Amino acid sequence: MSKVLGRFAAAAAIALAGMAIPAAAQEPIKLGAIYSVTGSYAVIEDPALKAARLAVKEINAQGGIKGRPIELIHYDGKSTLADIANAAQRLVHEDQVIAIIGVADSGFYLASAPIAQDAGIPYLDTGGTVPNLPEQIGEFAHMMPFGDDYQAFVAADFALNDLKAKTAFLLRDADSDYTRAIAMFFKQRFEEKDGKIVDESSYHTGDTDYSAHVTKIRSLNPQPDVIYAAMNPGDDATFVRQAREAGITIPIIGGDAFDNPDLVKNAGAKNTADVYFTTHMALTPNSGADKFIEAYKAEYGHPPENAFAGLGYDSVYLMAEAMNKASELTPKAINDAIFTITNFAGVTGNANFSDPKRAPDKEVTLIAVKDGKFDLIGNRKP
Amino acid sequence: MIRVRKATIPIALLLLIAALWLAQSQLNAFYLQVLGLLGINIMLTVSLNLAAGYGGMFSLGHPAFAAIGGYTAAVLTYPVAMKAFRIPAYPEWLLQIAVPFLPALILGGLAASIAAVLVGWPVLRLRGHYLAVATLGLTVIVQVSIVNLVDYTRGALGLSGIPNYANLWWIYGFVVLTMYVVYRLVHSRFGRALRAVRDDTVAAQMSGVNVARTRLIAFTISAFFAGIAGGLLGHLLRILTPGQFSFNAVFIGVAMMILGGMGSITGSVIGALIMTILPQFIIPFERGGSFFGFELPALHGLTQIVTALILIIVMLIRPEGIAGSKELTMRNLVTRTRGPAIRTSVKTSGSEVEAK
Repeated sequence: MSKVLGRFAAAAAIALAGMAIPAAAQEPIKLGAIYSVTGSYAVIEDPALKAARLAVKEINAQGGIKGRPIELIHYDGKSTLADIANAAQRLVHEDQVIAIIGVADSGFYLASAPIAQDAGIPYLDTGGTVPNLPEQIGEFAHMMPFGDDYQAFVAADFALNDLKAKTAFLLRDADSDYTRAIAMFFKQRFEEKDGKIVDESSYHTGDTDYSAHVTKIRSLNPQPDVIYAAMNPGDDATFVRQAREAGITIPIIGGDAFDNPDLVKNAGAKNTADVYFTTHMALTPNSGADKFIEAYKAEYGHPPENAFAGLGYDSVYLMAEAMNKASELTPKAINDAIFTITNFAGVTGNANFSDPKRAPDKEVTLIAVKDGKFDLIGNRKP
Repeated sequence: MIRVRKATIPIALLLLIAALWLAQSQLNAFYLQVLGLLGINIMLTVSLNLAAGYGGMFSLGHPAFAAIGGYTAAVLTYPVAMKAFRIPAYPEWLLQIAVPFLPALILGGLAASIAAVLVGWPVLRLRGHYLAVATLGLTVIVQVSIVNLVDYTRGALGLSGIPNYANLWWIYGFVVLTMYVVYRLVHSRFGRALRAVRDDTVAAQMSGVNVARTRLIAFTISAFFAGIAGGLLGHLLRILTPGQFSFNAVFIGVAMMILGGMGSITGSVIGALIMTILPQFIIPFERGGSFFGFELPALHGLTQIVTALILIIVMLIRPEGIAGSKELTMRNLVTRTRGPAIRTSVKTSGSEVEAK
């Protein structure tokens, strides 16, 4: 009996040892991810998660990082602050990840980032665009997208230089921080460069009747050269349709919220002529992201829903580049390596991550709507 | 009706203190945060129960009171160095001071109470679903105000950088205080008047109960504790946003109360426990992967489905909630299983006191 047991134990020990050696060499690198796949933010964070998974799959297929595969540990943020904070705590203290990517909202980021900062874990914001998030949190906070100031500055420069505008009308959603911010930065830049804001107007998210604003614009004499519409998705299409139907043909410029298929669907192709917007990437052919778009299509059966997919994809690749550059695979070394990345070539544009206080120095994509299609004008920096 | 052994409360308190001490020294930050959220949810549910369960005032405005209390406390404790450029609209003297945690919490609770008096005065004349809709209006008004008063609240972005003062000692200290005050209140002359008003307003009035005053006092005290819970929440998560006090918060609060039982303090604890702790066990399964040798796909939304299912099942089996309108005590559990014969014999033993 004891002989049998002993033999069995020996066999088991050999089997275990045999399994343990390759397992140790290939121990996965734990990368945490917080994206809301339920609740109101699922529309923008789910594509980011899908693209992040795709990036991890690609990196692992090519041998991983320093011979080790990446394991993406994702928790659903449920579009709720407490759940997002819990997810961050769980990643840092339970799963003990060495880096985190996630969220597409500055409020979500501010709720979860102090947890990573206190534990010394680098945490990359995927889509929140308040320009100084890292300054507010600390040295372990990083941003993937450009800040709101960049896109509004590029929009103002485009109005002044390309459209030869001298006067502008400002329409802004008074309810959200994002629309307030881009409206403020547009005004700042436009006036700095001797443009004139002739009038402005505020509305509330979800308003369906813009006739008061449309009448206000029509009564201006002379008419403004451009309209800057700091609006949220959904409202933009309603306003564009009502303005065009009232006979206003002035060019309309918007922010990255315009980057959704509903704009053309709800406003009509005819009405979206002379509509321009700034965004994170062009999802059109020959825009430099063809490989990513094709890979996404192959994996999920449809092209990326919006630019947040590109940001999620880039988030993983940025972390991978930092891990490759880091002297060792520790949170601190990876964090230090992020600051040394000055020419990251992502699908959402080239970016420089050396500034520890602000959003990356990164190109903004300018899009023109032509015949109901999004046409790339170019990638620019302010 | 409800009797408590003399020794029960001190023993329970000692056990709680031991458990808190053990938790603070042994558990990592993740578990501490979940336990903190549990305590805050218990406070919110017990305070809602005082108004809705015992007082018959089905309030959907409690997230508004939590928001008022939370923002008030957070603005008071906010670091002076950051006040001037983040929330610059306050008067100069307020920008120059950072109030300690306890007075800030109390002032937050008082601010919520004042709001409750102002709103309750006209609104508490309404009953049933009229009151529910009117108080829901309060939640909407407060939420929209927070979004728009950017220079006072930082708007939709949220007030971040609140100091992390709320540890388990603070939170469970206030949980015990809330449960104690509400318990003593509903088992007093005032509590009997409150329940009489809930069950039959006319009869209560005929018996000399000042209906309007009774309802307003209960509503105000209830708002006070909701305000304190809001203050604790801000100092636990270190951020407050208007989104935290939206319709979703209304529904979760009501669900916790109904699940546990309207008119039961221990029921509130159980309701909060199910809605806060249970999801934490389900979340690992949402991710998918292999569990006990089984490969599972990612099941996002599983926690919401499971909690909803529990809610439906409880409503089908026990429409009055898990605890109903009774308190879950050792004796209640024992008598339920042994039948009513025991109940009479218990009364004859002299070791317990009437809690009323």
